[in-house]
Amino acid sequence: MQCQIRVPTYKSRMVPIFEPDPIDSLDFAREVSALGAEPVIFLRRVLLDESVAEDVLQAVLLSAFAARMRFQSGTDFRAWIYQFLVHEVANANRRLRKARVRLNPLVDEPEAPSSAAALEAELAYSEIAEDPQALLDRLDERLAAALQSLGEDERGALLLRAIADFSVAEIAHLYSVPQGTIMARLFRARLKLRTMLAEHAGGMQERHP
Amino acid sequence: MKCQEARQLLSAYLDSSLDETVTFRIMRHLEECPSCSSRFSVEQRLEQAIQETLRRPSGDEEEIVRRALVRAGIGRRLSSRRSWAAALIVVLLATAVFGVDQLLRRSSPPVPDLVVAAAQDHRKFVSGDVGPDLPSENPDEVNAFLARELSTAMPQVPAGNAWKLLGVRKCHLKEAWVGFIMLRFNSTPVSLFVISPEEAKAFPDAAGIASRNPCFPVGEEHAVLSTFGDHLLCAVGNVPVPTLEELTRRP
Repeated sequence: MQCQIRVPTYKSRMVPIFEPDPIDSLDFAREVSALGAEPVIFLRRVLLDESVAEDVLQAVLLSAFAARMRFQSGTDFRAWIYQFLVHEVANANRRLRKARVRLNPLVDEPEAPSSAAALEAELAYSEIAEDPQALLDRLDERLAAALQSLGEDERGALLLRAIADFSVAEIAHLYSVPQGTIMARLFRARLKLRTMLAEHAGGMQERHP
Repeated sequence: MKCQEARQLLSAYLDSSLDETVTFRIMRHLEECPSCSSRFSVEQRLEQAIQETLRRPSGDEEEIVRRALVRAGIGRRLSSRRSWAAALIVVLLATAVFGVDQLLRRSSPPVPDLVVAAAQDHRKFVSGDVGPDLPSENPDEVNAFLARELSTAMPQVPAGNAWKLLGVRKCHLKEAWVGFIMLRFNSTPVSLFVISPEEAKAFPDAAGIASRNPCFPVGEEHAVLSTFGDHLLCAVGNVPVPTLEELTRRP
């Protein structure tokens, strides 16, 4: 029987020490700096605890830098780095959720919107439509809490769309899911967000008739 | 299209993720239905307000990015494999150019890391690979940039027509953020690097000798180290050493 074991040649074991990096350390730092405030704004909104944003960003930079040989020169660095952001955010939120459950075993995941919730949103929406300015003037107060009421996938999709301005197709690529899934997540996220904001608007009207 | 269907597609319509046919049908429905049209316009307004609120920065984000880069050690050094390769090339070139005997007889002090890194960036400036972040002939604008970006300042540019300020750039030299001031002496490019006391800690060998204003030959160029208050200065250019000292020794 013929031996099937392949003996590696000297050439195949050579490490190409002069192989150029597609992006070197300084260029990498420059590209990251050129993204400006956006990645940190995204992290602070999408993480369950915004105080870990800097640590998560550091983990993202280390992972991306270690994988820089896979970066193709001339392609979109921002879209590439967001792949690592999305991955590290999922890891960090998983850890944060476990820690929360340990501290408070009664914490539940946000529920998917039911038809009753959709009806509620429809009713609440009419309140927004009557006086949208009252809500817009005090949007800041409620938005952070409303975001935390979303499921993680919904929050991630919504923030990638709203903060990073990625298209539905780009977000689908980042999460490796079909575009229809992202469209459904965005739909549910907006529905929940508006329900929460409308409830708040209703509360405001009661306080300030 | 009925109102219920149009409203179910509202989210996807806001994201421009519907195909042309459906988008056209929604647009036609909005023209015919004042109720849906009003709702869509409120939705667009709300969506825009949510986006603006979500995108509003706190002001410290870019500092956090800078700190994360420093903590990750990125932008400071070449990868270890490339460092070895670079070191090997330097040794081979030095041996070829100067000869082993000459290297052994050299009595001048070793060239500090700062000077080597500054000379590399100076050559990128000479070859046109890098240019100023802020092109300006106005020292006040350059100083404002340095104060804003690096909490530092530059020495006064010598008087006379020979010197021309071209602008300033914020960049890395090894581990440190530095101000890279680009000038011309007659037609020769000259680089002046200003390093704040905090960032100068990355260059202990240079900081230890800068007050003695040492000069170094670096290829065809000269480099001069000096201090400016608490700051470290390094001037590089293919000009005589006294010309570089004219730039670095002014009050």
